[in-house]
Amino acid sequence: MAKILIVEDDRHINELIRRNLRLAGHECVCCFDGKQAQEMAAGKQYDLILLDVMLSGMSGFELISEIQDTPVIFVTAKGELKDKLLGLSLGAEDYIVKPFEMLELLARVNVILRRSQKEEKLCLGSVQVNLNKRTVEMEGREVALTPQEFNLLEVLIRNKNIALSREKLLELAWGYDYEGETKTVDVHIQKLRKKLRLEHEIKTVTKLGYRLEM
Amino acid sequence: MKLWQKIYLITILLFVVVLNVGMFQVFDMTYQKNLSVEQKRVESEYRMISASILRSLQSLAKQERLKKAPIQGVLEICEKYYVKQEIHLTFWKDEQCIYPGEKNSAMNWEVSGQEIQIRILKQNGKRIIQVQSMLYENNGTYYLQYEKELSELDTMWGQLQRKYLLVSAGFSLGLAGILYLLLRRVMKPIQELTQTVDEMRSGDLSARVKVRGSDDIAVLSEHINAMAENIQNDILQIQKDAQAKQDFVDNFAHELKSPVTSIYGFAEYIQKARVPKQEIEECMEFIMKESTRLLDLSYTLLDMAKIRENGIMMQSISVCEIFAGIRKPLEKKGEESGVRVEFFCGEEEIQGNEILLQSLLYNLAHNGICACQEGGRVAITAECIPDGICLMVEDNGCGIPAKEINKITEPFYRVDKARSRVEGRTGLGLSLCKQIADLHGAEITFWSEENKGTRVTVLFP
Repeated sequence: MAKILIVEDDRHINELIRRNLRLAGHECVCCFDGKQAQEMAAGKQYDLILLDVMLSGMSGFELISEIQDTPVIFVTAKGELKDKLLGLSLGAEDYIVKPFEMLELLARVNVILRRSQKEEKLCLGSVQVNLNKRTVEMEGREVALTPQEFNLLEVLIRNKNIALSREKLLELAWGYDYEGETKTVDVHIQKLRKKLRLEHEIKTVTKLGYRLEM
Repeated sequence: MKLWQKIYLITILLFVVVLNVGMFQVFDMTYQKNLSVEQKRVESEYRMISASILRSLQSLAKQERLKKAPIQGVLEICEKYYVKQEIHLTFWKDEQCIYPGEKNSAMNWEVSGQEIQIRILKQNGKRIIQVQSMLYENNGTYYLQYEKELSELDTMWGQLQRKYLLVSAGFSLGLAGILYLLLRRVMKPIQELTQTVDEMRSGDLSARVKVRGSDDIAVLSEHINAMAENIQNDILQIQKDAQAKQDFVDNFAHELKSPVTSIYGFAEYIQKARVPKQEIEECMEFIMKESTRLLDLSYTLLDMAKIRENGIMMQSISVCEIFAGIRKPLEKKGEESGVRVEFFCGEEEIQGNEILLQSLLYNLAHNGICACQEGGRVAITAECIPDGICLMVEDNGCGIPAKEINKITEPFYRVDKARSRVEGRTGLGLSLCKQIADLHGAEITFWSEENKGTRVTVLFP
């Protein structure tokens, strides 16, 4: 969906971020060096830049002032408050401290991307979902979903290709203060599968939870 | 109260007291002298008057006219002559006042014989010099009293005193002014000193006192300047150390968090994403590599901590023995990278710890192998030179940029960050080498030229 530049000098972490973002359908370009990143960012062809701070050639804090018009998220081991404040004051949209969780990274990336995108429409087999209008159509006809069902569908779409535990789904779709049972999740998943005929797309992952595959 | 104010007040006070007490003494002496001169003058005048009166009385006695009226006449004439000088005469016969003049004073003291008595007394607020004596004896005793106001002398003295007071006050004021200016001038360096020290106290350690001349204050200023310089240097050093420590902590956090991020991330990825089997294996490989890196890091850190805390056992060991211990692993490493590793040693012996020295040489040689491309060469040599025993590791690899050579022994410093990390190196190797060399009292030196190679010498004195 979006084109993202990953600037991270640790090759394994760079690879990790790339693979995670690819799950969410983003196209990634990897860069391992500050100087090179500066040249690549100058083309302004990216929707988002993930930037490490401790880089060879040029530090992320130096680099960000060279980047214009492209949102930047810092991904760094520097977790102290003063570093966070410095990073954000330099114009970063967000600041992620290593080690991070995959879902956190994706959620933060999505927030930034959503800001710049006007309408979010996507296809799930024969189902068309409009995330802005909160409508779902199947073969041209609108399907009525309860708000909670839509919430759940949205969470699954935003974290597609990632297995989400029942607890995580409760937290993301129902909210932190919801004190329901994980059974509720199963019931809603069954309804979604039935209404939208997504039996194949919404997979049950043993001992873990559910995953929307697309 | 400020120092200059104290000095000012004390000086003024001392000056005024000393001046006035001294002058008072002088004045008093002069006054007493003048008074005695006046008394003598009065006495001689009195003698003149009394002599003329006596002659008149004697001539009256001859003519047998020694009566009250003629005597009064004589005295009147006499007094008229002297009245201009404000002299008043009184004349008694026995206890009876014959000539009262303008006043009628009773005889108020005993006069015996012909002795002249002079005294000074106060009447109606005026000072009067009074002279009395027995004048003549003829059918009774005649006494003469002479009185004169001291007003002339007193007026003069009064004027003199006023003049003196004015002059003295003027002098005192003048002194006060001059002293004020002088003190301000003398105290100016002290004020500047105080101001500068105040600036230093409020944190501006670059403030310096202007040194003028070579007096006590100048010496003090110089010392304060030197002290400030030292403190500033110390604080700079402390800040530098703190920065180095902060850098170490930052780097350490980075080195620790990077493998953990990878390990956790790939594990999570495998768990949550739908990953084909081949990709899972790739991810596993990443996880294992990162785990090894973490393990290496912890071992190296542990080694460094051990050396720091426990000290080491030193013994005499031959260089060949040290080389033998690292030959196999290094040759194997060299083979993998296509780099030739060569050892040259003679009979040299070193005082040191075998394991640490092996670690030192292994690290240096390993760096050399990593710097070389395929077909490169790393030589490890021991040599006896006049300064001591020299261990040398040479390679013909990529070299180190000149501007980075001073930093390479700093913990976690990497010349090629991205590459070095992928190869699983900790960034602590040379830092450990330096520590080991320091511990042996050896000097470690790096020479390098980019794209030509690097030579490291460790000189054991």
